[in-house]
Amino acid sequence: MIPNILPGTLDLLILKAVSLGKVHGYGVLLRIGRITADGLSVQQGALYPALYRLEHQGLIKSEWGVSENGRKAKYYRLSPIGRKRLNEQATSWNEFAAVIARALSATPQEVQ
Amino acid sequence: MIAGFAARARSLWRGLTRRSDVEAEIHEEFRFHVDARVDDLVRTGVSRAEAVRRASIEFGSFECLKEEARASRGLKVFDELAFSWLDLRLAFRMLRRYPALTVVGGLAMAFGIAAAVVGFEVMTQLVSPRLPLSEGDRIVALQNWLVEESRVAESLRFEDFVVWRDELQSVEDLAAFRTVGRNLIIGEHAESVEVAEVSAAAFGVARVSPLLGRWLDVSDEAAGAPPVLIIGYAVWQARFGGEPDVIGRLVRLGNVPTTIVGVMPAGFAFPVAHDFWAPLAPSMIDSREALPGLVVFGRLVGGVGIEQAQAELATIAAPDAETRPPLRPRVIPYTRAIFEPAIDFWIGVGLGNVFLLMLVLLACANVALLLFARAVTRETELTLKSALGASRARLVTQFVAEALALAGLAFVVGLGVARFGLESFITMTEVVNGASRLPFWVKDTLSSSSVVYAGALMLLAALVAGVAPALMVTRGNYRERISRLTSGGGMTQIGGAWTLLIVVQVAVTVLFPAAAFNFHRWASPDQTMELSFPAKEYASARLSLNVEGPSSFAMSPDMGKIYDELARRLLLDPSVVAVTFSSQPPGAQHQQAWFELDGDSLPGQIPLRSRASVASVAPDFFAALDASVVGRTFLSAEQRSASRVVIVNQAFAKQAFGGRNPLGRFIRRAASRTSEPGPWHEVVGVAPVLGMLGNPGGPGVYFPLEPNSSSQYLLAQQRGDTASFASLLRKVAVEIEPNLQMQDVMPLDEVQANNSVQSRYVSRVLVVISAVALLLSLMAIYSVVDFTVSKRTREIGVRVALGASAQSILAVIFRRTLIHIGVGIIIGALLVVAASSGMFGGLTASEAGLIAGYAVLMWGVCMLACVVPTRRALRVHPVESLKAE
Repeated sequence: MIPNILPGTLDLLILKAVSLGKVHGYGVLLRIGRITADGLSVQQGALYPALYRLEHQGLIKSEWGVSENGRKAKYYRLSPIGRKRLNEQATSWNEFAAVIARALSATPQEVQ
Repeated sequence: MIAGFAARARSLWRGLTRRSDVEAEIHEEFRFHVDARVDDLVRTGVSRAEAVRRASIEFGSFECLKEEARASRGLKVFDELAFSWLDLRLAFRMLRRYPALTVVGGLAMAFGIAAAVVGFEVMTQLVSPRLPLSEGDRIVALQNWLVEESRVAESLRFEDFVVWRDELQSVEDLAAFRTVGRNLIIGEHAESVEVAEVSAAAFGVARVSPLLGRWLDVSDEAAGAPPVLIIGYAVWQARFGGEPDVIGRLVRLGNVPTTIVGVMPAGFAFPVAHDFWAPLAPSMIDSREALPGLVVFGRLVGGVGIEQAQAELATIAAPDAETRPPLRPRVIPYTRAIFEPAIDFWIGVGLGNVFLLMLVLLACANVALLLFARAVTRETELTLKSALGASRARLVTQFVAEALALAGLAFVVGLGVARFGLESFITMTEVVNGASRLPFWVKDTLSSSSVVYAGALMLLAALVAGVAPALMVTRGNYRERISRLTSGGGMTQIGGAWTLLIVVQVAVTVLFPAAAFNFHRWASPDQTMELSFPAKEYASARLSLNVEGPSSFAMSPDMGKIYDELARRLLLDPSVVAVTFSSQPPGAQHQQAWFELDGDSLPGQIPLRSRASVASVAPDFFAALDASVVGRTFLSAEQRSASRVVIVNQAFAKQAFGGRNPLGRFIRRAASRTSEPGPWHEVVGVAPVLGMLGNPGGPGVYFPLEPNSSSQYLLAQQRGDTASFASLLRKVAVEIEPNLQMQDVMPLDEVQANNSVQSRYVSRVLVVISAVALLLSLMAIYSVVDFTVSKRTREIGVRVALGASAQSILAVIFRRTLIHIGVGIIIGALLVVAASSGMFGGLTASEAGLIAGYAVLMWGVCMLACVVPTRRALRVHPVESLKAE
């Protein structure tokens, strides 16, 4: 079973996906699938409220362009403050994950 | 941080202002996503129909996601605050369901808005009057400023005007006018009119073409030019029946035959409030003489500002400057030459507007109380709405919508009332100004800025009246509220602020009518007086002689002869009983002076002086008014010489002489308490009090009338109606002397009525405010009692079940309300007593009784508001009430 995404991590994944280059909404979804090796399930529609929230906060910017199949599509890219936020969140996530991983690998001897 | 804030603000702004664009974009983006997904699925071998189905399911509902999208843009709270049609429909349904609240609350707001809007309109018209003429803001006036006295010179010389006209480059079409009184005689009909003698150049200033004929021409100003007259539209309609052949008609101005050459269009009253225009002919004017009331005006040349014109004017030397006091000519906006109030006037107008705004807020606070009391009875409904997911913002919005519907009604009614109020205010001002019209730029219609102001007040009213009760009722979370609701009993209480409001309100309803009464009492000794003769039978008319031509050459006709002849001819008419003359008619405001008595003070001591009205009267004055004089009246001979005799009235005899016999005593007159007194005069008679207004009690002193004074009043007792008397008077007067003008012809009782127009107006306004305050108080008391009863239905039921008497139940329910009303009445009464004693130095027993009686009456009226809820409380059936919960 593919695990559901943890609350609060969708924003981080979107920022990461967008940071890899200009991309439209559907592309963000594909890119998240690729970078997580399809290891997480994202409900497709749920992506958009998150995208708009990030845009509203000024973390990503959008513009209309033409997609690979010649249709009008809205493309997102990371803004300078989005990049800063991504770095901060990546750092704190890594620290958090390390601490949790460390905690979960604890053995009975350690708590003696 | 700042970048993030800016991004949010931008996104919010876009979401709010371009809602449909944003929605279309979202839709398009979703569409693109789903289509792309379909293509991908088809590529993996799924059939297109199946791919479409799967893609749609995977994506989710467009509408739900759009909703979420708006929320993530921070737009949700705005969506909730935005009014929908449903809100307004609900609001209007509430207005219909609670008609009493709608009428009382709406009226209170409407009166508040109306009063504030009238105040605002008056202020804007005074502060920034706009001339309704083409480029009216470029019209300026020129004045001389007296440097030493630092005030405006009241008169200009014609030569000043000529110099400015010939030399000043920055003001074009420089013109001048003055207003002169003339008798306009059309055939047999004579009337006294005000004619604007104005330069032909004024056409370039006003830029209004005549409707018929022509405007004045420079050739009309030449010596020996035939006299011409231009008339206004209203005069043309009223006097000439609107006939076009009026052009070329010959009329007389005084004894000068004059040709009508033009008719101006309706509404044209330039320079101020004029209906007649005649040339300001230099040949008729002594150019070196100071002309009171001469106004010089013109138009700023294009591109020139008032400062530049001022700078240029300063370089032009006044003619004959060395013999005149130092002058500084100045350029001012035209309207300020006609009306320039002092600084404390502005402060008064500003404070008045602040007061009116407070009045609006007070009315809104009341409506808030009413809405609150009603909202409490709807608590169940509100709690259910919360439970169903309505946010607090949503509920508050609905309250505001209700208040807005009410305020909207008030706005419409208020504008109507304001229009009427403005008209009545202007009429009152005109009457106070001696029945003369106000300048043409004063409009009795509301300007667009006033309507906008009313709109702003409407929104303010809706917010004040809607938000406060909504916040109070929706306090706490809905779970708490539900549990309180189901456990029964009162939950929201009428708090301290509301209690204070009721107390203040009741105090106001006691105070205001008393204030109106006191104001009337304070103003009336100066403005009305019981006249001992039948004032209706007497008519008065102001006589003045305006002679055409340069005033220094004017013949000074023997006024005494003219008046004698006038009296003789009038008495020939069988309807005229008596004719006499005086400087002021009885019932009018009189000039005031200070009098010193002989032998009243020791040498070296400052003599006491008493204030009294003064008038000059003809020998037959007292006889004509059927007044008997103790001692003697004036002799005819005393009119001609500088005789040193006076007649005092009984009030003066009592006040100044303290009841001693004044006959044979001497008094002398001074202009003020401290100024140098005039010569001694012997008191030869004591007359009754005959309406010499100006002081309480009406003390007054009569001097013999100088028959040659060119301006005095004629008094005539006549049988029959006064209207026909006016035309008889004019006809006879014009036959004797065509330049003899009759003004303000009216019965004496009207003279008196006109004095008190202003105070009656103020009293009336106070009464209206009191009535609205009373209505609001009653409504508020009713709501609060009603509220209490409905909150305590169960308690009442239990008490009844336990055998409580009706009396004890009433005591429990109404104790608080009774205390509030009582406190309010006592505070109001104390204020009344304090104000009365401050103004009149104490109350008489009867006045105190009056106030007490009034307080009791108010208390009774307030109690009436409790009747309906009381009956409801007493009808509570114990079983029903318990079941109802």
